[in-house]
Amino acid sequence: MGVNAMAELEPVRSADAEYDLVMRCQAGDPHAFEMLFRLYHEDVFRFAYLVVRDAGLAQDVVQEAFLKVFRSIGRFQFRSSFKSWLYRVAVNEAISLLRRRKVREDLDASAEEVGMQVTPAASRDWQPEEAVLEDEERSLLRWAIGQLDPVHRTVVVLKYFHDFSDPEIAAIVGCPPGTVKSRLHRARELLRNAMAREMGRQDLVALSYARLSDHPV
Amino acid sequence: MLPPSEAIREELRRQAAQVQVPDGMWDQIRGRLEAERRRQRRRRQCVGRLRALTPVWGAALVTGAIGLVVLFGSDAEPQGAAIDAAWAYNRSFVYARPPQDYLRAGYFYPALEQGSVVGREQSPQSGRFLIAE
Repeated sequence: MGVNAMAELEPVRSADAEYDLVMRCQAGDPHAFEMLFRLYHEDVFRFAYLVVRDAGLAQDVVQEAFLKVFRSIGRFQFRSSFKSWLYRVAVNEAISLLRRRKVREDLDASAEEVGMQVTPAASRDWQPEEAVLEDEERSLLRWAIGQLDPVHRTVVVLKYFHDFSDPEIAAIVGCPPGTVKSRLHRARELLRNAMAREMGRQDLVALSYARLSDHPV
Repeated sequence: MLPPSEAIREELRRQAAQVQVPDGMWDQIRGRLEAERRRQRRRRQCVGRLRALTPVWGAALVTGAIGLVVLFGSDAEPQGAAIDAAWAYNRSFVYARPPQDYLRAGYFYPALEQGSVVGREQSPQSGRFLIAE
């Protein structure tokens, strides 16, 4: 690929450029597909990573979302921005992937209960103990964000990481803007409660440890 | 107190910065898109060929239908040997006339099809016999 072709593939972020690219995709231009991908794949990957919390799964979400979008781009009628549409597909992919994974994990858990040998599901949970050296409150917040259910985590990521407005989030997740506001408020409440609970537990552990230290066996 | 928005924003940015966007995603997507396009092209070609063959099929069907009429549409009365053969092969019907004659006359199988009566019934129109088992 020559220098000019590479320059052509450099992402250009503007509504007009996006419109042109989508029109070219609808006309079947393969370069336009690539340019749209390059324009958005990093954002979509980071969004997916923050929601599913696993780089491999996030990659799957990105691939499936872009494939779905490219397959049906011929039917896209510009009723919303392409970006909103892409994110909507990515949100649905991420949430359905997490649901499938949860079903599988539940099945694995029940199999373990009856004594079957199973491969542990690949998961990467941030445990509070992991971040001993980090600032305690920050690590607690990180852990608490990980504890949010996918629906609340999605609106939190769209709002605080991608800086989407409430109406944009509403269009992406397919609910009224009022519901977005209440979900955000609820998410922050859940974060606060999770952090308070965990801090209480840690205090209890520290107290027990101190008592054990005072009275060695 | 609720966690401040800025703290959440900062934490999400920190988490996102820790992960590297993997290379090669576009190649995989392109590969899958191309494979799908190839499949669709093959399917279209296949459908096109089948459509192109439609006149041939039509001709074959018409020829086959005419052949069947010629083969089984004989006006000849079934002879005793033919009736015996039909019984021997446990066939349900032996037509004395082409079946369409009986259809046209509204004289059709149900009366003859069920039951195990073996006998002869006469077509009201042609006066020929239909042997039923």
